[in-house]
Amino acid sequence: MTSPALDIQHLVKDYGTTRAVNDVTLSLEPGEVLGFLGPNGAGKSTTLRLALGLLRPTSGTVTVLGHPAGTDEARARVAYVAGDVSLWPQLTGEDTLTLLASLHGSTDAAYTKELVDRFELDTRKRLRAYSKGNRQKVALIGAFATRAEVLLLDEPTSGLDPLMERVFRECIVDARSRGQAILLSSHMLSEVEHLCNRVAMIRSGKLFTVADVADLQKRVGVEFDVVGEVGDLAGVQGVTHVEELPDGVRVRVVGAPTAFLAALATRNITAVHGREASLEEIFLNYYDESMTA
Amino acid sequence: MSRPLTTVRAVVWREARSSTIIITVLIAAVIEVGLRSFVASGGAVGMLALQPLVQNPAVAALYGRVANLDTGGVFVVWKMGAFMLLMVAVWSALLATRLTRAHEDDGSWDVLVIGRRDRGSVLRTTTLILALSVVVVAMVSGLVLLAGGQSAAGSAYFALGVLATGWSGAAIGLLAAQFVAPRRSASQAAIAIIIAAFFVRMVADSTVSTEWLRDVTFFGWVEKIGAFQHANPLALVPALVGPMVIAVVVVILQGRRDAGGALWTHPDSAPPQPFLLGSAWTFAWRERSSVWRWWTGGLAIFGGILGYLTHALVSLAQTDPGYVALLKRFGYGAMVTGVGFVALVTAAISVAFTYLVFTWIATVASDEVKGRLDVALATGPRRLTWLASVLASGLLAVVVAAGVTTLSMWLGVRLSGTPMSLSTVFKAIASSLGLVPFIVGVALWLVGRLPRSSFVVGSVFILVAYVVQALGPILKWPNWALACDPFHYIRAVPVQPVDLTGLAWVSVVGAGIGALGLWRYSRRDVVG
Repeated sequence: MTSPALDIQHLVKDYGTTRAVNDVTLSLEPGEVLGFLGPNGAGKSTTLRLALGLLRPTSGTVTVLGHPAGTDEARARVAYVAGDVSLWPQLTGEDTLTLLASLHGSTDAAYTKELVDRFELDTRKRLRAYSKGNRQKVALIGAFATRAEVLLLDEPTSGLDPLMERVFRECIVDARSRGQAILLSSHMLSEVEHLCNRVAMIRSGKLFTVADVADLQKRVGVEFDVVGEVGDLAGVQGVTHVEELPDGVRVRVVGAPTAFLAALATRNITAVHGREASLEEIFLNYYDESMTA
Repeated sequence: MSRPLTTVRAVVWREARSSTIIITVLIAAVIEVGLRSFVASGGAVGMLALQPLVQNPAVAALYGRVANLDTGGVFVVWKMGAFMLLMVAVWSALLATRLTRAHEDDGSWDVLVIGRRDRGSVLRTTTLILALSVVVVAMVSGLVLLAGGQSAAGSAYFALGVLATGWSGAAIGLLAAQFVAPRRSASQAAIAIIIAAFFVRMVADSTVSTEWLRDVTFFGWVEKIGAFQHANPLALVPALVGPMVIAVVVVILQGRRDAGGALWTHPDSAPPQPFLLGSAWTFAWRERSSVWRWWTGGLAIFGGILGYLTHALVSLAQTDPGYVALLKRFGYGAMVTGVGFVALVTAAISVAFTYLVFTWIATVASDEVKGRLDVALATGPRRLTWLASVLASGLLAVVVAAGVTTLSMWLGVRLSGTPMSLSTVFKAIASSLGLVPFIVGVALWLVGRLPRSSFVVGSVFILVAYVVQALGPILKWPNWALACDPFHYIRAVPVQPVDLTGLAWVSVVGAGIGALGLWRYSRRDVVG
């Protein structure tokens, strides 16, 4: 049996009396892209830094392909991109990529060149002259070029324009198809929705859900905009939420919509539009639930 | 809700406060120690024998020109003045670049420049806080002299000299911040100007024919104020107005450039230079190579000047038996020969080598705090390997710097007409590296234990240790106190034997502290 790409077990990190990460258990398989969602200060970056071995856990364990985080074996198998890239300002982009490749020890030089072209990075410029987005590109190229088995990405697209975000998504798809495992911490929920098989949501240091996006959508339900004289739908099986609209109602239905559709058949309606909940809606829904729990 | 400019003042003062307090306390302590030294040396009568030394051109070049050492105030001006003023100028320049260029570099000024506040008003407010910070240092220095029984007028003139020096340093820092970016480059430029100004003052005071050079350096203007001597109010005009003029120029210049930009820009693009990027070990050198060039260049110039002064001092000693007796009384009897002089000054240079090694290693902590090491330490070499690479390059840096200083000092000695072998200078310089193992340990401990404040704590430690070593014996402090000071074990080699036992103990202590630091470093969180 092969080890998970990343295995986090009962991870706890305390700063004095503040518990930044609280009993987090999470697993990432090779070839999987796991979205890591949470509000600011929820503990996402701390969890990633623990997984990198930059922080020491108060308790719990993190392994990378079976090797404890921070060991030589683990470091050789991970690549990392921070949300706010800080490197040496006097180096040019190319020099920085050379340095990062030297420090990591294994880099695909041809892929580096390809990435530089795809991200349209002017590598002759010094880091201090780069915009935030361009600094982010340097870090992304450096990370992807390692072909590391595990990519830990913390808000990797902050500062990137929409065109470069698209290139980033293509790189993630490439990496996934090569069997690389990716933990993607992001506030760009549409990005996570496009790329991730599963998402983990964290709040106040505690994971409150880890599930497939499709499962979450099922749990949150489907939203219908019904135009016409709908009447009262509140008691219909599966209907969890009804909101009045100028020309009808907006209804959320969880589970099979059979009863809901049967009820509609008896009403005087002119149109029905249905759509699955977006990840943003799912996140907000779950976040609200976790707040009230 | 507070008024906008009041908020800016509060923000800027909060940043300036800590270093202002530290420099104020240090200056006050140095003055107090100077006054006590004067009394301990027999006061005005005891200083009579020093008079030939004071008038010696070489000594005047080092310490500046004074008339008679007849009061504690003059003694402070002469013995500590040059050191203190240099310290104040460098501090105010660094504070100026920190409060201006650093904020432009990281974009935090953009937050302040909102609403009715434009960049000009923020700069003016920052300049005001900077000026007031220097006023605090100057006032306290005058008050300490006054409290020490010195004349009110002399104390006031001394305080005004400190004020003029601090303002000049700040003005240079502000000016450098307009021309050069990022902050590190601006600070280096400002310090280079200040050190050049200090060297010009040294040349000006070395001969009568070069006296006019005092008018082209702010250190010369301040010297001409003549605190506790020939009070010269007119000299205050250029000393105090000069920085104000520069401040106005700075405000004008800032209005003519982009926010975050500089008037002199390096090309943003450069051809790839993969040289020394192949590993952590080589990169440790490359990252710090520009700093190393500054250090080595400065030490080479300083060593050359000191070497060149050898002949003048030895000649004086050989013609004045009273002076020789005095030197012996103060424990500087070795200075009556060329070798002795070189031995004593290289013992003093040990503080520079010590500081070079410390700052070299402390950059690991500053890089870490800035977040630069996250990717390197998460995916590259081990933490201890990274630290070891910096340590190794630091040791190489100090050895090469010592070699260059040896050569320049020897050339200076030979140019002055004093016969001396290269190996003699080499032995003297080599012995001044005796505290390197100890300071390596201290630096490792600070990096491991106090990464966010390692630079400040280490700098203050070295400064205090050196001052204790320099003044403790004169003030007749107890032996146990002196024995606690690492600089106590640096001897004037080759006229004195190397204190192998003492240095071995100090090195063992350093090794112990360093081991604790490494243990902590390898187990703590990476900050940033």
